[in-house]
Amino acid sequence: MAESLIQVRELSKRFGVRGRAYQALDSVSFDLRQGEVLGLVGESGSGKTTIIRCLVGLEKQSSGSISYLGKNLGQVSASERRRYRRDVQMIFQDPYSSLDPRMTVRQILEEPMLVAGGFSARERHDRILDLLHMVGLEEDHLHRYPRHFSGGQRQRISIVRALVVGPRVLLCDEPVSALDVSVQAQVLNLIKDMQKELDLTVLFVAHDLAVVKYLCTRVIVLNSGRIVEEGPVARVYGAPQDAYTRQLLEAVPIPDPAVERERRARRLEGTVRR
Amino acid sequence: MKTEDKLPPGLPSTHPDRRGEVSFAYRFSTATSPLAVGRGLGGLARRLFGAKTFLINRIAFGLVAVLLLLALLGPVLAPYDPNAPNTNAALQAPGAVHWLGTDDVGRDVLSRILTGATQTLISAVLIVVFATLIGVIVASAAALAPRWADEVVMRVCDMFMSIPSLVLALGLAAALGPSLTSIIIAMVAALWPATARLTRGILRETMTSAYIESAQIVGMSRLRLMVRHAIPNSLDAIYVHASMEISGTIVMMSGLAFLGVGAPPPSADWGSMIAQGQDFITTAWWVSLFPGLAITLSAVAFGLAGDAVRSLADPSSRRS
Repeated sequence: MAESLIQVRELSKRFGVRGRAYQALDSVSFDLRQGEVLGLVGESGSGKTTIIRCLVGLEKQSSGSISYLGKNLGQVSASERRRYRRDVQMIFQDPYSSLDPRMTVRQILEEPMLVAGGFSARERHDRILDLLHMVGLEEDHLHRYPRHFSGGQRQRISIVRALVVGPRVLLCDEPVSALDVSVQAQVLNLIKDMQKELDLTVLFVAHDLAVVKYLCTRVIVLNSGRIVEEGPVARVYGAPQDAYTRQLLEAVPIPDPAVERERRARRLEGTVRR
Repeated sequence: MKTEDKLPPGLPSTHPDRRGEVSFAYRFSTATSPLAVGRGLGGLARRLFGAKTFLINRIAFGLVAVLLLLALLGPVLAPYDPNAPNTNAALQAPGAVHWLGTDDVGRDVLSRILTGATQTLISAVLIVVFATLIGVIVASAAALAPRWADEVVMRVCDMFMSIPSLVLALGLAAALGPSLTSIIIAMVAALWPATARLTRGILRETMTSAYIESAQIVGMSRLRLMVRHAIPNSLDAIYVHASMEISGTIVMMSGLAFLGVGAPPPSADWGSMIAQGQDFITTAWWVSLFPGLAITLSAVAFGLAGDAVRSLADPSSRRS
């Protein structure tokens, strides 16, 4: 089995004060292994995004631990912490709010390298250009502002920004759900290509099961902050063990009007009887 | 096995120990905000005088430009010495010799209004600049500070704001003694809390936006986030607030002068000129009327300009 990069153990997160607290995550444990594309699915409010936000340190877990390369992040030195911040990068859901509207693309892309440190001006320039070309953007885009780009282009810029410091792990928080269906596939393919090319390990959060099936090797199903099912994509999609997983799969539309109509009728019947 | 040896293939990753290769000067130049502030001002100026600007906005800016020019050139343009009494020509009606008449000791009203413009308008702008600076600095500190410190600062602002600013400025100016400096200090003290409150709210909101979070992930410090992202993105709102504040400041300063806590007597101040003329307003209306008109005109011009800045900075009217 491939080496485990990130280990999440008994991760719990409560929001709000005691009494009216909301349990977003309830003892979630899983491993993210080198080279895999792990899908994280579940309805909204199931805690998918909270997991990612805990992983990048935007949210502090209430209890439990996250380890990177076998070291608990709660106890590592500052330099280890810095290394983790560079090795684990994230792509946000909304490409419209995740780019500073007052910065040019060049400034946006240089910033992570300046913050992480250790990149010469030449290196910064080369890395930006390399990645820009990989995602299909041009050099003269560098002087423009985010508002000059479409949603798909902005998401490409976000991908470059995440990859520019040379991470090993890429966390994707529903990176295509804010995009047009027509560009979703392009961005997904791009993520897939980059994963192969740069040997990335990807944690991919989505509520769209079709997307996860297309992209991922392994999948975790979350329901109200708990893992209900975990396994290789083929197994989970082919023979779901948990009732919730079956419901999720049932909800995926099938591109055949006859089948859809029949299923919808069945679903309606079910609600009436109850 | 050391973790550093296991860097991923693909893009060349660099060693954390090689930080500092980038010169400090370069980092400083790209990370500090004067550049960003300049960019913001440049963008605003382009919008102010761009081809698509409304006529009313152009008029407002034109008027403000003329007023500021008058303020700078006032003493030079004045036809007479504004402070030299001429008892032979006391209380003369507006005419060819004295365009706007003379006051009770024979001083030329036009000359006094022009020299008063320098004092009033320049100090109004200065007051707003200082109040905005203090407000933004306090707001940034509050937004960066822990929750309780933030609360304390904001409650202090509330305390200041609960006292009507004219009364607060009046008290302070009276306590500091009659001089232009004490007026400026008093007005700045009265105005900064409003700016601080407004700016803090905007900064707090901006600090939670996704682009700030993405910079946070790579490990940018909160202070740098503030300087590099949050403040530049709040500038539009700050400019709008400041430009709206100027006209109120002009009126308030004149009010203070009218009440007698302005600059000491011989100096020409619009407010004190009105006060001086009120004893004989039935016989010599021009002594009070023209300074009053000057106040009105400046207040309206700066008010319109503030409105124009607001409409131009409004995201809904923004074009790329």
